[in-house]
Amino acid sequence: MAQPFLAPGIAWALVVIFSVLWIALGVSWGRKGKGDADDYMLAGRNIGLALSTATLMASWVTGNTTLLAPEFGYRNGLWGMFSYALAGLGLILFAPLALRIKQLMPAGRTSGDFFRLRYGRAAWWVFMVITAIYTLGFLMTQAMGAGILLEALSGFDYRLGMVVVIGVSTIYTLYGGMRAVVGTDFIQSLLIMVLLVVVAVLAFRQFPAPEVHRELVASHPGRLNLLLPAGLLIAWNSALFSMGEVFHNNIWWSRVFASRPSVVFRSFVFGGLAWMTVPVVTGSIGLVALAQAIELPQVNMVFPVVASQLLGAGGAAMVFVVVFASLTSTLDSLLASTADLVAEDVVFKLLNPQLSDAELKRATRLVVIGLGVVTLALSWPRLDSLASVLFFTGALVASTIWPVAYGLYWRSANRVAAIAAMVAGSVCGLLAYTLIAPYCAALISAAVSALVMAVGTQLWPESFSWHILKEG
Amino acid sequence: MDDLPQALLIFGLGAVVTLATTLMIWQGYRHWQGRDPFEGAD
Repeated sequence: MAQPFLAPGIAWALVVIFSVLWIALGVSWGRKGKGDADDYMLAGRNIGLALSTATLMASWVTGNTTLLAPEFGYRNGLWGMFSYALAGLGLILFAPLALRIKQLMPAGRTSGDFFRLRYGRAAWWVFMVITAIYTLGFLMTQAMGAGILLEALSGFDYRLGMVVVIGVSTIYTLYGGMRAVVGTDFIQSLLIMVLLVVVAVLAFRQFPAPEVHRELVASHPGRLNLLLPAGLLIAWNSALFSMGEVFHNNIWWSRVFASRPSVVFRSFVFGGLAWMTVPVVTGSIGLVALAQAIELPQVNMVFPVVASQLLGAGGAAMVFVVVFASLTSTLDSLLASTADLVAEDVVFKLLNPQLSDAELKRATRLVVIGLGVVTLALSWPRLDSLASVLFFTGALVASTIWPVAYGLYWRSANRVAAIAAMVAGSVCGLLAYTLIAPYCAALISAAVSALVMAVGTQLWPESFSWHILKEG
Repeated sequence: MDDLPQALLIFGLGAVVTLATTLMIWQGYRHWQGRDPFEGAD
């Protein structure tokens, strides 16, 4: 194994400090509010602009954003950096939809509510299969990413790092519910932004941008070429993949239901814009590494290598904190919103509609624990190719973009067309993943789904009553 | 899939799908702006 960037003693101290902090704050915030199921799942539906923006941004900054974006910048130059940043479009384009959801479903709890009420039970089943595969893939990539990253950064055993990150996220989500998730996300997002700015400013003070540009022009002119074929191929993938992720997944719908109506539009726009700065900053660190010909043991370690080479142990510690905050802020959101979806849609609405409020809250908590255990079990055997798992799910989620948006705006959106769009989009996306290339999966899936949805609705328009969604 | 014409084809298709999606959302947003969200007609 390569030499870790951070001494184990410092790494342990940071893990203990931040784990205790997250758990203490999460448990304390969880005690506030009315204590009913709605409060536990949606933090009292009263989140303001700052908290809402911060939780969106923090949940969207994953371990990949801090480590894969620099790799994209290093490998594909400007296009790599910009294409990764386009994933912010998912949040920004969801802003108008979020406003409509808030108006149509004031008592809604999950994205599953929308699919069931808008398109019927059959469409709900298709949605559940897509979201289950995506969520498990997402949980696994974050859990495995935690193990791999903490091992590379600090020398922790892969399984130990994974257990620590999943354990901490599960404990404070279990005790504090959405209130704990949103509160800790606020602090985590501040930590991520401030530390990234510090690393970037210090790096560019040592190697000013004109110098980086001069070196790149001399040694790697292709990386500055906006017609670089490798860059063009990946350019729109992140944008369409991110739209698929955000439009269907309950992480983002639960934020809509939890936020005040007056802030929901702006928080998604601000959250998306704030998020876009992260891959641009970390991606530019990849360009610094390229310009300075810094030697890399693994290309996905660009960010920690540059930070520790330029800034010493302090830089490595900052990267460690950024990565730890990114991983916990994503995992807590995934655990909380997926538990809400399973408890509300499956346990309550499908299996036992007689469930009392207290029983629903207990069921949600049990699902949080269950998800934590399942994630640990699935991630126990280590896989090193996480990007392929993510691209695979892109084929599925991109097929939901048009059914969601069309169904929110057009009364005529046809339910059979919605089902056909999700199935045909997913199948064609998976074929593109296997036969063409993984980065085409989301694109082909979205294109086919859009076509089926639009044509199906034009040929067989329905007349949906918006009041049905109010029941959610 | 490395050469420029194929890359431009994929890039163009991606741009068209992203633009179409953005326009569809924009059209829906403009349509419902200032209206009763439960209004019967599209």
